[in-house]
Amino acid sequence: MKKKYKRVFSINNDLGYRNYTVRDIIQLKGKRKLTQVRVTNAEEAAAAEEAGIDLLLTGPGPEFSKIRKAAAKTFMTVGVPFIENPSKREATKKAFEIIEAGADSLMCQNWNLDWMKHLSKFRIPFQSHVGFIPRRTTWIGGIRSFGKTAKEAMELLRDIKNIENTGAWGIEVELVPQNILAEITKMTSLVTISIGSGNAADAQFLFAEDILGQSQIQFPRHAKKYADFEKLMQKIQKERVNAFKEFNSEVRSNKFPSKKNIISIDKKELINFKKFLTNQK
Amino acid sequence: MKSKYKKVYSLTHKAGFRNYTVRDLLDLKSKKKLTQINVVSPEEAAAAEMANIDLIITGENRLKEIRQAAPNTFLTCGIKYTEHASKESITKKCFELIEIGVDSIHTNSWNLNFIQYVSNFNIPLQGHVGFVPMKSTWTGGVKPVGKNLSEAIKVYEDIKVLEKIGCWAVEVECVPADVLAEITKMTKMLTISIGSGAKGDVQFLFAEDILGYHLDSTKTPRHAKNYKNFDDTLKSVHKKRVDAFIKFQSDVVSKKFPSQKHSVIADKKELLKFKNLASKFNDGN
Repeated sequence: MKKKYKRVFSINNDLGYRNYTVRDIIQLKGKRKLTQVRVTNAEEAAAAEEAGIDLLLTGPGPEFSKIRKAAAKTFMTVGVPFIENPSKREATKKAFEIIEAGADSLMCQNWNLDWMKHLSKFRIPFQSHVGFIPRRTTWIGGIRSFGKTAKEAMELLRDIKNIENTGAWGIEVELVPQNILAEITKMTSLVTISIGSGNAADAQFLFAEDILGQSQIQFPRHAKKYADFEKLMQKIQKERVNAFKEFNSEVRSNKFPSKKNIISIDKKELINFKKFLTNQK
Repeated sequence: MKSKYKKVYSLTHKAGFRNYTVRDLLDLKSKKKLTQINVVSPEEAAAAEMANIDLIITGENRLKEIRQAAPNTFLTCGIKYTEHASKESITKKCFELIEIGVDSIHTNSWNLNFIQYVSNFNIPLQGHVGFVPMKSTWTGGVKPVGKNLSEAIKVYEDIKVLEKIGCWAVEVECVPADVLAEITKMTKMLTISIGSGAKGDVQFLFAEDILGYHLDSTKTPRHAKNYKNFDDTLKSVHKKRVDAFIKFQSDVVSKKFPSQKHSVIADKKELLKFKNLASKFNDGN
């Protein structure tokens, strides 16, 4: 039987177990469909690992160390914010910090290509993003799919090739026609990660909040709900309210605390204490 | 119709609505039993407000979210006192928390001189006596305090010092019920009982104990009560998450997801044109 996890050193020299190395992922291109889920908390991360989700994506926020611990064995990519790191040097420094905290790969969304090339010289694995990129929507005229014409599709191919040349291992492709990405996937060595770009890509990517049905935004057309967590969370909140109500009413009716919840004092000591207090008045 | 909440100004002159002011609470001493819950998340805070819990208390970690989730409930906030080695530093922190909208500050292990200094700004303060976890080495570990005369006197004296400083309330932890019953009559402050019997002015518990977390460990203290079993609830939520992810995974592998309705398709003519252009594409490498 094949072992589920392999022993690896991460870039920060921690010895651990992972489902994949970056080399495994690259070698699986065209052979096996992979899944990637974006998680925002430790609970989602633990559930994704238990479910056998192949790749995880998350942000570098304060939750990251908990997320890494909760899904210690799943290949994890972490976003490196470019806005707060407006130079090659700062971006690289931030990238190192995130690697040190246990990331297996970085997400260089919106990055300057020169920075990616620079990062690549350190042999740090990273993925990037093309097609519809939320922060760049002004360049494509709003929230829409990208690549429906031959001209746009060529632009996309050029973007992907440029990113391939920086040394990236993967590329998130968002809201691109299914048949265009099918062609491009054959033309690039990058692992293509589709979100709203059809089923011919090497990996399928969704947000945990969409899968679970608790999206903060209007539910995107390309996503699919596999559970109704909004309803479930309402139910749990009601349980919380009921518990607190019960506590409230038990206190008011003197049912709580009862004998078994309290500490007693020896009668003689109590009498002496009362005497002491009387003298204080 | 009379609103359930009254309009108040916070110390930073922001107007808001609250269930109680400090003065209301002092006026209610020995007239109404109040409740206080320690919350650590906005969900717990919102539930406490909805359940009409009188007072909530929390730490600095998720304070802003918690204030927003329970905007109308009298909120006390604790400070990580080991981060403040001077009274000026701790006062600055108090101002920051007040600015976020807390109604009172918990001073549980502070230097008394610091408490006095902050009190001089008329910031409402709550103290802590009896068994104080961070000071338990002085009282002999995790055990009740005040079971004999000299310990009971010490509890009384500690309370009197806080009263003199100007605190409006004091948390009294793991003190014999009869001792707190007597002391409650002897102080103007509200006594907040946790494990110290029914005679305190306020009953205090942790949300995690009320909801029933960590039931498999020995973490629920004897004086607390579990009204639910959230261990089981969370296990079932976890299972539902795992199931959803498993379905996604198997849909992808079996090519059931994404289907046509999740995808965009390029026009055949454009696709052919693209294939033609792409076959001649040279990226210069």
